Parts: sequence; C-alpha cells; structure tokens
Amino acid sequence: MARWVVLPVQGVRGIRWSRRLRAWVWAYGFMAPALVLFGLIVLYPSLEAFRLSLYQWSVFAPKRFVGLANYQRMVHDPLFWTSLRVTLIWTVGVVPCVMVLGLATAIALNQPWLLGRGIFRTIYFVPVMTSIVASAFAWRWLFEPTFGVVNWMLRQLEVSDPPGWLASTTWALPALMIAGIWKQIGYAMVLFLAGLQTIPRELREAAEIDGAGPWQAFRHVTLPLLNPTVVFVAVILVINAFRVFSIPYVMTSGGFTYLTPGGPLNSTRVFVLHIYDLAWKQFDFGYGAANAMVLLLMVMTVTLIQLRILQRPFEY
Amino acid sequence: MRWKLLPVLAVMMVALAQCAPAAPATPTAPPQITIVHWQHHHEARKPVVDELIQKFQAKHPNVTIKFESIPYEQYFDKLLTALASKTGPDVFQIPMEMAEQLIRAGALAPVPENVMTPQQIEAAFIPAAVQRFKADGKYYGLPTDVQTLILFINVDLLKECGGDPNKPPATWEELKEQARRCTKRDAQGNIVQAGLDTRYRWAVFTQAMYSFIDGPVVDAAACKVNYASPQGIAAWKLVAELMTGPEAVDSPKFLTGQRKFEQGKAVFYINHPVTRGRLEREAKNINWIVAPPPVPAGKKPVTPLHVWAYVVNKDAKNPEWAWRWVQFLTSKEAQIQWFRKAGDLPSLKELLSDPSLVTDEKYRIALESMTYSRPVEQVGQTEVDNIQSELWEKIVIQGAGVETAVREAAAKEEQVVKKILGCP
Amino acid sequence: MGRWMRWAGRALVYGALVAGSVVMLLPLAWMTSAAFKPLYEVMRIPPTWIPQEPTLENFRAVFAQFPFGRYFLNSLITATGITLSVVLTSAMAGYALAKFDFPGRNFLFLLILSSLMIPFQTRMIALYQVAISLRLQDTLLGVMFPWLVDAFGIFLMRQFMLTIPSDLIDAARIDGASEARIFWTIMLPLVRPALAALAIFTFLGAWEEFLWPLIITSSDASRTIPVGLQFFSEQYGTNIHWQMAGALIAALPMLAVFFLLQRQIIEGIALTGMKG
Repeated sequence: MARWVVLPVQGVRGIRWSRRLRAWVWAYGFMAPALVLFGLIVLYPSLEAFRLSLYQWSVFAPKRFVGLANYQRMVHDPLFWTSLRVTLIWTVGVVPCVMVLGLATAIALNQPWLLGRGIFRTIYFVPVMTSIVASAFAWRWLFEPTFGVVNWMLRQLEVSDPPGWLASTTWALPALMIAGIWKQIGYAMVLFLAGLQTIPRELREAAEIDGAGPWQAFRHVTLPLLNPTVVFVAVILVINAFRVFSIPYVMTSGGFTYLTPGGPLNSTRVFVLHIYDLAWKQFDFGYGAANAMVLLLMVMTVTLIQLRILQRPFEY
Repeated sequence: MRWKLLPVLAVMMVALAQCAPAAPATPTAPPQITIVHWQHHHEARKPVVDELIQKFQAKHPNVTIKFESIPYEQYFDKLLTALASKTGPDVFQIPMEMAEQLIRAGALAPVPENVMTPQQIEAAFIPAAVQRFKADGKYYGLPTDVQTLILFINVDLLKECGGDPNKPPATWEELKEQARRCTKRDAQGNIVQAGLDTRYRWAVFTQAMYSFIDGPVVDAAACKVNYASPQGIAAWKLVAELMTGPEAVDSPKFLTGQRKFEQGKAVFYINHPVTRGRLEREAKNINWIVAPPPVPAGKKPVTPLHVWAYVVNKDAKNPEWAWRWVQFLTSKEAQIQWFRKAGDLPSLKELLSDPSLVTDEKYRIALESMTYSRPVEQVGQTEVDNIQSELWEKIVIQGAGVETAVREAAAKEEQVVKKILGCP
Repeated sequence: MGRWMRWAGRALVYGALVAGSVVMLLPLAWMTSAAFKPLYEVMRIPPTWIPQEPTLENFRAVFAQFPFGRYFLNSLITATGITLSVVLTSAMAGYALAKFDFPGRNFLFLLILSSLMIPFQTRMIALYQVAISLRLQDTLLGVMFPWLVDAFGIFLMRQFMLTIPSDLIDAARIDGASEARIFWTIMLPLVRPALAALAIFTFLGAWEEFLWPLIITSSDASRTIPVGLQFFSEQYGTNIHWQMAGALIAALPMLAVFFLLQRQIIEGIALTGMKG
C-alpha cells in the first residue's frame, strides 16, 4: 500500500507536494553529474567560443574586443575560401562514394544465397577498426609516386605518367579522399545492413512475383523503406566530412620543413585543419574561433535539413 | 559566492605561508630543484642531451632535469602556447631567427651576472653565435647547435656515375653538371635516383640565396628583405633549374617526403654538419664524405651560419640553476660531446682552433666551414619559413614564374619582418 | 536463360565483393608485409608481398625508441575513464529525463539535444583555454576532460528508458525501494544492451581520438597511441620500415578487440550509429 495511507495526518495535498519535491530533488540529483560536466565542457565553451570570436587575441598580447572584425577579415581571407572549397570538394566526393559503395555492399551481403557473409562483413569492417593514424601512414606509402603500390599498379595498367599524388597540388586531395572513402565504407555498410534487415523480405518477393525486376523491386520497395536510414547515414557522413582532420593531417605532415599539414600549397587544407592552423600554429585564437563559428553554421544547417526531411528528431 | 570566499581563501593562504617556514628544514640537504628542459627532436642530439643530464645530475644531486624532445613540426606551437599560458619549460632552445621576437615579448630572462657577465660571454663565444641574443647590454641566450651548410656526397654512387670523390663540385655549375649525370630515370622518365637530395629544401634555397646575394639577404636595421634583387632572383632561378624540367636533379614526386640521401637514393645533399650524427646512427652502410658547399662560379666559398641558443623562461622558478644548466650545456666539456657525438659545430672561440677536435677529414671540412660563414639574417621563424616554403612549392610544383613569385614572397616577408621588429 | 543470367549475376557479385575485399585489406596487408622487411626491400619495384628477407629487426628498433607500453597504458586509462564517466552520467541523466517529472525537464532536454549540433571543433579553442586555466595540459585528465559527458549518450539512454514501463518503478517505490536502488537494480539491468552499445562506441571513439590529444599533450606522460604514433613518425620519418612496424603494433590492440567482440561491436554500432 502506498505510504500516505498510513500517515493520514499530513493531508493528501501536503503529502503529494512533499513527494513531488522529493522526486524533484532526486531528479536533479540524477542530473547533477551530467549537468555539471555539460556546463563545463559543452555549454560554457560554446558560449565562450562565440565570445572569443569577437576578440583579437594572439599569443603574448592581451585580448582586445574587435566586434565583428574577425568575420569581416574572414570574408577577405583567401585561405578561408580555399579551406571551405577543399572541405566542400571532400564532402561532395567522399559522401556519395561511401553511400553508394556502402549500400551496394550491404545489399550484396543481404542476399540470402550469399556464402561467406560473415567473412565479407568482417573484411569490409576492418578499415573502420584500423587505427586512423596507422592506416594514414600505410596510405601515404601506398601513394608514394615512385615506389608506391598504387602507381606500380597504374603502371601495370599502362598508365605512362601516373600522378604525383601527395606531391601534387591536383592529386593530393583525391589521394586523401580515397583513404577517407576506404575508411568509412564498412561503417555505412553496417548501418545499411541494419536498415535492410528491418524490411520484410516478403514485400520485395511479392513485388518480384508481380513481375517487377530486381532493379524495380529495389527502386520502388526497398529504397523508399530504407529512406530514413539513407538520410541518417548521409547526414552523419556529411558532418564527418565537414569535421575531417586526422587523415589530411597525418598524410600531409612529415617532419623537417617537408610539407606543412594541408599542403602542398594548401591544396588539402580542410576546414578543421584551417582552424587548427590559425589557433595553434599562428596563435590567432580569436580569428580561429570566428572560423570555428562557420563550422558550427555548416553542421547546424545540415542537421536542420535532416530534421525537416525526417519530420522528427534523430531517427536512430 | 566565489567572491565572498576569496578573502577567506586569502587569509588561509597567508596563514599557510606563515606556517611554511616553521617546518624544520634540514640544513644539510639542499632543496630539490626540477628544471624542465625542452628542445626540438633530432636523432643525433637527443642522446647527447640525455648523457649531459646524467653528468649534470651526478654533479648536482639536488637538481633533476626533466627533458622533452619535441618533434620539430610541433615544437614552436607547443613552446609558444606554453609560454603564453605561463606553463612553459624553464630552459628551452630557440633559433636565432626568433631571438628578437621573444626578447621583445619579454619572455626570456637575461643571463645573470653571477653566472656569466656580458664581458665573459663576449670573450668566450664567437660573435656570430651570440650577437642576436643581445639586447640592452644583456645577453638572453647561450649558443650551441652551430650549423653551417656543407655538401654531403655518397661516394659509391658518385663513382658509379663517373664522378671523382677527390674533385667534389665547388660551384653550382659543377654541382648541377655532376648531379645531372648522376640522376637516374626509368623508361618513362621518372626519377629513381636523385642527383641532389632536396628534401631538406631550406638548406638548398638558403645556400643559394646566401651564396648569390652579396649584401644582406635581410637587412634588419633598414627593415628590408633583399632577395627580390637580381642576385636573389638568380638564386631562385637556380632552384627552378635544379628542380623542374627534363634535366631536374630531384623531384617532389621521387620518394615524397623521404630523406633520400640517408636511404642511399641520392648522390649529393646540402645539409647541416649535424647530419653526420644521423648518418652514423641510421645509415651505417652508406659511404660518404663532405665538401664545402657550392657557390656561384668565381666566388669565394660562403655558407650561412645558423645557431640555436639555450634560453631561460622569465617565469622559471629557479633561474639561477636554470642558467647553470645552460652554462653546462654550452661549456667546453659539453661542446666537445656535441661535436663528437652529434656533429654540431662549437660556439666557443677556444674550440675553433683546437687541433684535438680534428680527428678526420669530415671534421676538418665541417669546422673549416665556419671560417667562411656568414650569420643567417632571417627574422621570424614559422611565418617566414612558410613564406619561403610556399615560394619553393610555387616554383617547383606549380612551375610559377620565378621573378613574380620571388617578388611576392619577399614583399610578404618584409611585412612580417616589419611587424616583428616594430618598424614603421 | 533466366537461370544462366542469375548465375552470371551471382558470379559478378562474388567477383565484386572479392575485389572490394582486396582493396579493403590492401593498406593493412602492405603495412604488415613492410613491417617484416628491410628498408631496401620495402622500396623494391615490383613490390613483394611475402617478405623475401623477413626480419624482426624493425620491431626491435621500434621498441627501442617507441614507448609503446606507456602510450598503450595512457590510451587504456583515458578511454576507460571516459567510458565510465559517459556511461554513468548518461544513464543517470537519461533516467531522470525519462522517468521523472520535474520543472525545467523539457528545457534541459532541449538544451542537451540542441547541443548535439555544436561540433567539438567549434569548442576546441575555448576548451583549450579551460584546460589551461585548470592546469590540465599534458595530463591524462586533460586528455579525457572534453569527453567526460556526451549529450548523445544522454539522449540515447533517455530513449531507451522511455520504452521501459513505469509500472515497474512505481511497484518498486511502493515496496519502499530508494530511488538510487531502483536506478541501480531495476533500470540499469533493463537497459544493459543500450549501455553496452554506448560503452563500446564511447571507448572506440576515445581510443581513436587524435586532434585533442595532439593539442593538449606535450610529453610521453600523457600521449595516447594515435599521437604517440604520429610523434614517433615525425621523429623517425626517414624509416618507412620502422614506421610500418610501429603502425602495426599501434593498430593491433583494437583489431584484436574487434575480432574478439565482433558481433557486439557491429550490433552496437548499428544500434546507435557511431559518431565519426
């Protein structure tokens, strides 16, 4: 029996209030650790980041309020536009490739007649689980123009003048993008597989009995039902593309004045590398923070578009 | 809330401070001192520092040196952010290009008179190594890691392509000619052996500029950067000749980012004498010699002299012990170690003519290069390095027109110099 | 005809999958092969896949210069600390948001939810400032601290706990169980799969984190495996064969975990969608 029946003197109302109060206290008690940490590492730094973007603050010099000057400077800064362009190329190149290859692999692995499904799934997932720095090293040497395996293969294919990859302003970014695609296919595949498994097989079989070919069945039955997964994977991949750092940093850095990360000639300067360079190489923290706000804007836009498409938050 | 607590805290602090001396201190054991020491990593220099730390600590058991060998790539980022946030090391190493910047920022402590007076410093060290660390009659750093640029030659590869190790190239023309002969290409024309290793690009274009330009390359007094002059442009045209076209002697596409000489894939190599240490450790099977660096035809040999100095953070808790440690690092005893084990050139006058140092021909040539050296004039580190590196990439990778690119870079560098030196 | 077509189609699918597998395994295969070769064999054209002159010398050289044990320990401590903190704070906050009615609940939930849009890279300059003022630079706590709470984790746990009927909790309350006890002995066991998934991807994310440790560490005392490996390569960049041996050693722990817990990891990622 509920306790308040045993204690009638307090009156129903008072007890309800004290119970509620107790619940509030408990609720905030449960929330407390998360809230404290949230304030310290999410809320405060977010607001502070915005505040910093209004200051000129360089190493050794005191902070100085400059209003929107950092944002004005950004508009006229060719490096800002370069890094924005590099990031957009990365996004437009990497995301569709990962989507298509990930989905194709998932559909192949979802075929009932396929043997060795587990082995293939493991193999395609290995890149996701291989240390990103270690695999970037391996890619760097695979792409080495003279002794690297990639150009050796191209020469076998009778390509007479294979690209200089990381030594070329044209080919460095594609080389990094290939590594970025390689790293994420398995991840997209797993999410698509999970999505495909929620689609009843009978639906597609019914469509095929009705005379639809496999492609039509895929187009008109599987794909629409898979739509939420597709949007979700696309959004995650786009956000990952906006925030990419490790692969470009590791693959383009290399000791003693060989190449500054993001090189050659800023051809691989992705946006986060741009922020990193401004803050920790040029010590222009305020300007770096202003650039970081653009990243926030980009991520927010994509998230809000996703919300509109899916009509509800976070279809996990 | 926080503000209300402050006075309470302050009172407590004062009380604590009062208590501290009351604790009985044993008079015999001197207080333990920890000195945090940072420098950029070099394969050959790290073991020498480790050894010197052992020696210093054995002599002074009350001192512990905490040594961090930070990769060159991150060194300046870590150092400057740490200094700005007052979490920097007590002792660290800076290149001469940064001296003015850090002295002006008030980040460094001067050498105290009881460790070494300015007169003693001037008497002991060669002027080229210390002059840039002097401001207002005080010295802010003691030099080690003196480097010139010299020519390294892979003897076996040179003989293979018909060269004579006894007649090393003395001029750029000779170098170009021999390097071209020694560059190997595959059927498609891709380089598979470089005539000249240009991975260490700074060395190549700096030697070119300092050997071509007669006057100052950077004139700090006039706040001018002078390599857009005809001589400077000639130097960069030489770079273009070495690096581009069908007669190039190296290419960024060949062993991208690799040290080619150390791997036995290049015949010539312009680099610091300290490369000796790396070759002895990591390329034991390469048979190499050194020679004076190339200069334009008809000129006397010349090489840029570069130096790093150990300096002390102005926030160091124990500046006196920090300076003693620096004094030890730059002492005669230590410099002999630096020279023998790493290949660093000495900065002490007395060691320049010390015959005991010259135990082989390589040492002789390295040491002798100091007699025809001129100090590096560059002002500003990372920013300027980036400008010059970018210039190199524009010429070498993009095939940009040399004159325009050089003019742009020199103008940009001049802006940086003006900012650092506070010129009008 | 139809049958023939079907077999041809299947053969094509197998062919494509096998070709894809080769590409997927290429970097790891090359890394493994190069790790056992002397330098001159690494640079041989055409490349050899099975080392002709296999050697363990590279590993000896790497272990002499690369404090892998230290980095491994740092990675283990920081990733474990982050995981414990995230799992605990997420479960507690998720429980409060799902099963309590309190003033400010919706506001807090929306606040946490909308913070998901703020990428770490936007906050990192300010976080660096916080870390400096708390004297956390170059410490293990400093490596951990931006990750100790995860808005997504809170959201995930709330969603899972919403699916658990409140009757269970009410019944326990009536039996006089304390709130802490209800949380610990009733809620947590019921959301174990979600907790496990959250723990797995938090741990993997923490293990792989590169940018923040790059910013905050400056000595071996706090370097984790990814930055340690990068550091090693910057120091000994000239030696591909060493670099590959180091990379292989650095990649092994996580690959080992993957082969042991493959099912849980893949299911966990499918369940939650791992953050990049």
